[in-house]
Amino acid sequence: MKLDRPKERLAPKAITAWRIKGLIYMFCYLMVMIGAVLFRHFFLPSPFFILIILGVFLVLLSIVQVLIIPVVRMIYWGYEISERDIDIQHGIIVIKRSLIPMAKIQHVDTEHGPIMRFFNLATLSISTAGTRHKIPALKFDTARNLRKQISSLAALSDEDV
Amino acid sequence: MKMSDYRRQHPLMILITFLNQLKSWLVPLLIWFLLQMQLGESTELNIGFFIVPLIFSVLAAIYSAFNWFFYRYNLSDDALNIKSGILIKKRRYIKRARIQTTNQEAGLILRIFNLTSLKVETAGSKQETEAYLAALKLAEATRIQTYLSDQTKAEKTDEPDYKTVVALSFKVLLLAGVTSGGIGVIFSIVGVLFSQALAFIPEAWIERLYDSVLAMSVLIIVLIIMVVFIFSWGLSIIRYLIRFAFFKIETHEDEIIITRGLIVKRTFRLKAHRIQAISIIEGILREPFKLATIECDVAGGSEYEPKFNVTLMPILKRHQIDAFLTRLLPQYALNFSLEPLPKRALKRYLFRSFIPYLLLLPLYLYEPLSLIILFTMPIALYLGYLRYQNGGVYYDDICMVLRTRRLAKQTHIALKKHIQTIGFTQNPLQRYRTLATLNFTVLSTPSHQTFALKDLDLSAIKSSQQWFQHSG
Repeated sequence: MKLDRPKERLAPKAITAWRIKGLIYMFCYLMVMIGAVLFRHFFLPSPFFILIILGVFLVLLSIVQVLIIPVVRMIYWGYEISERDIDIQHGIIVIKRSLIPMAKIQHVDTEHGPIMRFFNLATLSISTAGTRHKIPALKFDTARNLRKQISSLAALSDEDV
Repeated sequence: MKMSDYRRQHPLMILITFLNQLKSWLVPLLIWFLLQMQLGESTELNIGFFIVPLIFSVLAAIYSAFNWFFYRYNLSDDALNIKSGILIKKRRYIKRARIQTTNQEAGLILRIFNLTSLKVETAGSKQETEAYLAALKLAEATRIQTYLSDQTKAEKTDEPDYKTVVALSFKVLLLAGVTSGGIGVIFSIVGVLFSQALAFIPEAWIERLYDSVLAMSVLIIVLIIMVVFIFSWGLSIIRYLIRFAFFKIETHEDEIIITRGLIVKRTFRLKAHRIQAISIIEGILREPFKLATIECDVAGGSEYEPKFNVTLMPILKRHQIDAFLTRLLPQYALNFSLEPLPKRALKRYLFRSFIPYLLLLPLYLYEPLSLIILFTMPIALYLGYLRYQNGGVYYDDICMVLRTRRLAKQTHIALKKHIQTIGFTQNPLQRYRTLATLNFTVLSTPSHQTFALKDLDLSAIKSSQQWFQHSG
C-alpha cells in the first residue's frame, strides 16, 4: 500500500523562490566562512583542516538546500480542500499528513514576504483553536480564493468547542 | 460611515507601540551601557554611548508610525477583519461565533486621552491574544464589542451547592506518594546539591576522603548510596503529600472543583464539557500493584482554571476506574478493546531500544570498561517489547483511544467531537515497512496536546482517517 498524495500542488514557481531563499542562506554561510578565516588569521591559529571541514560542510549544506530540498519538498507537498476538511501532506525525509475538519477552523490568514511577493506567491495559514497549518507558496490568486472558500465553508459549521 | 469601511486606530497607538518597543529594548540597551562603562575606563563620554540608543529610538518611532498606518480593521460578515504588516502583509479574519471574550483595558496614558484598548480572545489560543487593538475611542470599542458579542450569553452566578465525589484518606495518599516516582527528580536535586557541596570542601579533605573510600569495602559504598536513595525517596513522599494533602473532588452542576494542598490550598475549577481528553497513567511503580492515576487536558477558559493538565485522581485501583468515570464523567466510561500493533512493528520497537547502545559505540572504543553498560540491554529490549505489546488503538462513533508507553503505560481517551486534527507521519524506515505514526491533537490550556502511537499499519491509519472524515 502506497501513500496517495493529496491532488492539489503548490505553484511550480515555488521551487525558484525556495532556491533563492537557499541562495540567501548560502550567502550567509559565505560570511560565516570569511569570518572563520579572519578569526583564524587574527586571533586563534588553529589547524588548517578545521577550515577545510567547515568549508566542505557548508558547501554540501548549500548544495542540499539550493538544489535538492526545494525539489523533494515540491514532490511531497500536496493539499486537498473539500467541503468537510482540509488534507495536507508535506515533508522532506519524514512525511507528515494532517486532516483538519472545517468545523474546527478558527481563522485563515494569507501572508507573503518580499521574495514570495516578487514571484506573486502567498502563504495560506490555517489555524484551529490550538494548531496552525501552513500551505506555503501558492499563487497569489489561488491563496486569496482559498482563503475566501475556506472561511465561507468554515462559517457553515459553527459549533462550540 | 459604513460598517464595512476599513479603519485605523487612534493615532495615540503610535505612542503606545513606541513605548512598548522601547520597553523591549530596555534590557539590551542596559547591557550596552554597562559594556560601555566597563570598556571606557576614561571619564570622557564617547559619542557611541548616546548615538546607538538614539538610532534605536528613531527606528522604533518610524516602525510605530508605519505599524499604525498599516494596521486597519473592519467589521463585516459577522467577523472582525484585520489587515496589518509593513513588509509582510497579514490579514486575519475572526468570526463572531469563535470569539469567547472581548475585554476593554485602559492604562494611565489611555485614560488621559479617554481611550481604551480592546482584547479579543477565542477559545484555546491562550498563548497570544487573537487580536489586540491598542488605542480606540470608547464609543468605537463598545461598537466593536456589541458587534462581536451578539451571541454571548451572560453567565448567572448563584450560591453553589457542592457534592463531594471523592475525598482521599491519608493512607491512600501515602500509598500514592510512595509510588509516585517523584524520587527521580529529588534524587537528581540531592545529587546536584551534593556535587555543589563538594566544591566548598578543602582539597586535602577530599584526598583523605578519597583514600578512605578506596579503603572502604564495596558494601559500605553500596550502603551509602542506599541511604541517599531512601533519603530522597522520603523527601519525594513528603513533597507529594504537601502537594496533594486534603485532596477532594466536588461537583456542582457541570462544574468539577478539585481542592488540594497542605501549605498553599489550590482550587481548580473546570467545566466537565471543557475536558478534551482523559489519560489513565500507570507508572512503573504503580503498575505491579494495579494502581493508576487519571489526568485530563482542559480547553482554556477563565483565569482560575489550571494552566496545565490536571490530575483528576491521584490514585485508584485499576478496577475502580470505570466506576470513578461513571460517577464523575459518564461520557468517558467506555468499553473498548484495543487493536494491537502489527507483528512487523516489533522489530522497529526493539530497534529503537537498541539505538542508544549503537550511539555509544565511540565510547566503547575509547574506554572498553564502558562495555559494562551493555548489561542493561536486556532491560531496554524488554521495555521495547512492552512498548510494542501495550501499543494499541481503538475508535468508534464516540471516541478514540490510544495506548502507549514510555516508562509508564498511558491510555488516552478523547471524544471524537473534541479531536481537532488527525494525521500521521512516516519516516523512510517506516515507509519501507508500510508503517506510520498516528497522531491526533486536542485542545489543552496553553495550546494543544498531541497524542501519538508509533508504527501502526498504514492501512489501519488510512481507515482511522476515513473514520474521522465521516464525522457526525
